[in-house]
Amino acid sequence: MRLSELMSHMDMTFWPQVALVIFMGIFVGVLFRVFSRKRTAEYERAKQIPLADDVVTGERK
Amino acid sequence: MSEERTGPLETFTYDEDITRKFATATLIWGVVGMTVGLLISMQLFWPQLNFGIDFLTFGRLRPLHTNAVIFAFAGNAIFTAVYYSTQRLLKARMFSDTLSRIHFWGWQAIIVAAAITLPLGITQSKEYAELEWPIDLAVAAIWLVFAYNFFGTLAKRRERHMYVGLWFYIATIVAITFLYVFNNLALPVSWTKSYSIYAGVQDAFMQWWYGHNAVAFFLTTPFLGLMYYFLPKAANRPVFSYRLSILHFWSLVFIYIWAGPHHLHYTALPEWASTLGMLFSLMLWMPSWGGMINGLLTLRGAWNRVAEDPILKFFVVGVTFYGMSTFEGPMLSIKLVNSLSHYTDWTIAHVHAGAMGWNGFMTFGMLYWLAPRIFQTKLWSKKLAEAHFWIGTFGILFYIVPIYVAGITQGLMWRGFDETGRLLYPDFVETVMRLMPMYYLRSFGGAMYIFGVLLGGFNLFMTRRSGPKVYADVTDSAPALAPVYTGPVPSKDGSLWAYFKRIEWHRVWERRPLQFTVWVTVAVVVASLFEIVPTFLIKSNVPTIASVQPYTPLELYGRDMYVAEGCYNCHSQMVRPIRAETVRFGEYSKPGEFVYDHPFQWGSRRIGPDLHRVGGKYPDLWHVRHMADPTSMTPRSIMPPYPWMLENDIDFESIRARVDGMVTLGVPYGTEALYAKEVAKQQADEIAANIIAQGGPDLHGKDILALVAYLQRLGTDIDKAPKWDDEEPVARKE
Repeated sequence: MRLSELMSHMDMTFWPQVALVIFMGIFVGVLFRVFSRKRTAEYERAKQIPLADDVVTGERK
Repeated sequence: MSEERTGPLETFTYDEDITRKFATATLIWGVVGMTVGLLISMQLFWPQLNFGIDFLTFGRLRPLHTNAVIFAFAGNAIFTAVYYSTQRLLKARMFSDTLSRIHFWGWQAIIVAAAITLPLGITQSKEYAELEWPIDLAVAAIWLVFAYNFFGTLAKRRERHMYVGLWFYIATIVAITFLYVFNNLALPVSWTKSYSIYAGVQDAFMQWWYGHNAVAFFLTTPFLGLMYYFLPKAANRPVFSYRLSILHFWSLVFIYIWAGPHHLHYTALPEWASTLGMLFSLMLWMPSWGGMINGLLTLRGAWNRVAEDPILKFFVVGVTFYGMSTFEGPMLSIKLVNSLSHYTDWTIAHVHAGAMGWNGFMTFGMLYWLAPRIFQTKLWSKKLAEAHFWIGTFGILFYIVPIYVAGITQGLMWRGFDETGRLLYPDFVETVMRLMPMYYLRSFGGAMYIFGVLLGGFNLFMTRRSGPKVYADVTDSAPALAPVYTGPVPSKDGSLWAYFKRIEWHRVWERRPLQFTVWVTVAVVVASLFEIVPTFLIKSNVPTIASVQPYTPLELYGRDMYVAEGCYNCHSQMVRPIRAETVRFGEYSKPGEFVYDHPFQWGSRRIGPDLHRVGGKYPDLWHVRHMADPTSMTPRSIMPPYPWMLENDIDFESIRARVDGMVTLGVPYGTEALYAKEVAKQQADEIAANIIAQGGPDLHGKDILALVAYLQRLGTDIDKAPKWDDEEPVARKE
């Protein structure tokens, strides 16, 4: 397979490490975002969503 | 937030009928799938239970059991949860009732197709991806219908914020699409037969990338979505920490996709890949336990209610099993632990703790909570639900405890050496016999669990019967949303960083399902590519071996029989580079030996011995007698007899198509492919003559010849001299 020969010369064994660093970076970003104080009010409201869905106005027999 | 709601108050109804349909299907398929499991568990100590019928053998029914409980029972449970909760969380009826019905009936039709084809031996042999290509296409089509319907509902929602449960559903829909499609890429050679486009190591890697993520995105994320919705509902209090649930979500999406290679420790997979798989599996510990604690702490202040509410009991035990399984999973991914646990019943215990405890109990908790609501009446009997809970819990314990013991016992017996350096238990069957008491107990536990499910089914059936003949519409109302996000537009004053901080990028994605989906997709795909591409495209990862040649046409036919009978369910073809294995089975397996294996047959459990080095170990006649009656060659063997292999004729006409398929996939047959049928006939005649010479029966043209050809070839190539060595030193140029 030609593609594989080409790719073999590209020395891609470090790919997983690069991806690891990228992913860690993004993950730390998510972490900061999630834990920032600004979000508290929004989360307090969001967590009530499942409990607020029982407002049934129709008739139940 | 209310200020964003610009539209008028709208009144709408929910589609409850679809929830009722999926809930009913969940129970029916649950009983079917579990009963098949009970039957095959009993075949292990009572092999005659297949009644001598080919489609009831362990090798054919085990895929039916796994597919039925995963895709039929858990699958329908997921859809029940999604259809009920999505509509309410979004304050909108499903996008299209027609698509919902196509999804429901299509999915059931696929299950029926699976239940017919798997016992017939129509299989791709990749675990939890056994279904052949026409059914795969149907699965993909129905899944896309589901996805379209789901995203359509997101688009017309009346609640701006997408609750975290929905995020888990989205991750499921997106990830399963990718996993299923890529793992099932295969070249059809007939309506009922295809060859995986990947071979050997790559096929194994792809399969366990899929297999592990099927656990992640089919048995974990959707059930977490279920937990984050139904647990707060049942406890009547919000989730303990919404922050933790978001963190739980992103950690799983980012990490899970990397963990697959831990299924292939000490195999011919490159070591870097398996180490990577282990490390990411260990990282999963944290978010999984964060999620479990989040679930359990949701019940803070409500623990007194757990004592009297069977629904909460199911949820508490379910979430606890989630914690146990996600603790054990990373532990099993540690190479040292894995070297003991792999190929033993420990794996079986692990998956059953997860499947019966987590998936099963979360499903039953949900169904008991839903029943009075969707059937618009009271639960028929709370006492019976309570009984179901206790019988089910003890059933799980009776199942998993003996099987943990069985796994560790057999693992230790395999690696036992005496002081002179010989294997303590050189007879493989000895290590199987030791497990029999545990197998009895396991079936007892399984039967208890099924009895509990039957009680549950009866209870829900009676609940349904006591409900109204015609169900009332369930109506709700909410203000419509403005069609696009109308949050504050950030000013571009100041530095770029200040601008970046002002744009509420996360808020924007959360509210736009399309972007959100794109990001989930990016996370899954990027991680997968980075992990998979190097294995596929770097030659040095799969060193070739000059003496390894393609299977002959007859051997290929025999291999297809091996696949069809599901031999891989009990026999591995992977000798690990561990002394206990090389002493028992022979030279350890090398990646280059599998380059023509479409699909790979490494297996995941050794109920019987490894077969990779079985070639040449016994005479042809031994295999004939062994297949006719295994106990005649190995007293106390629990392998079922395969007498039909000595009766059925080889379908020589199909051989050319099989070889052509391999040629298309790049297997170098050369001109032999043109005479595949004749070459196969010649080899079959030679083997038949050989068997007669050894004092056996006349088996000209019978199936068994092809299987013997394949078994005798297995693992022998590395001992041969490369073809060009002395016979044709000049003519062959490589």
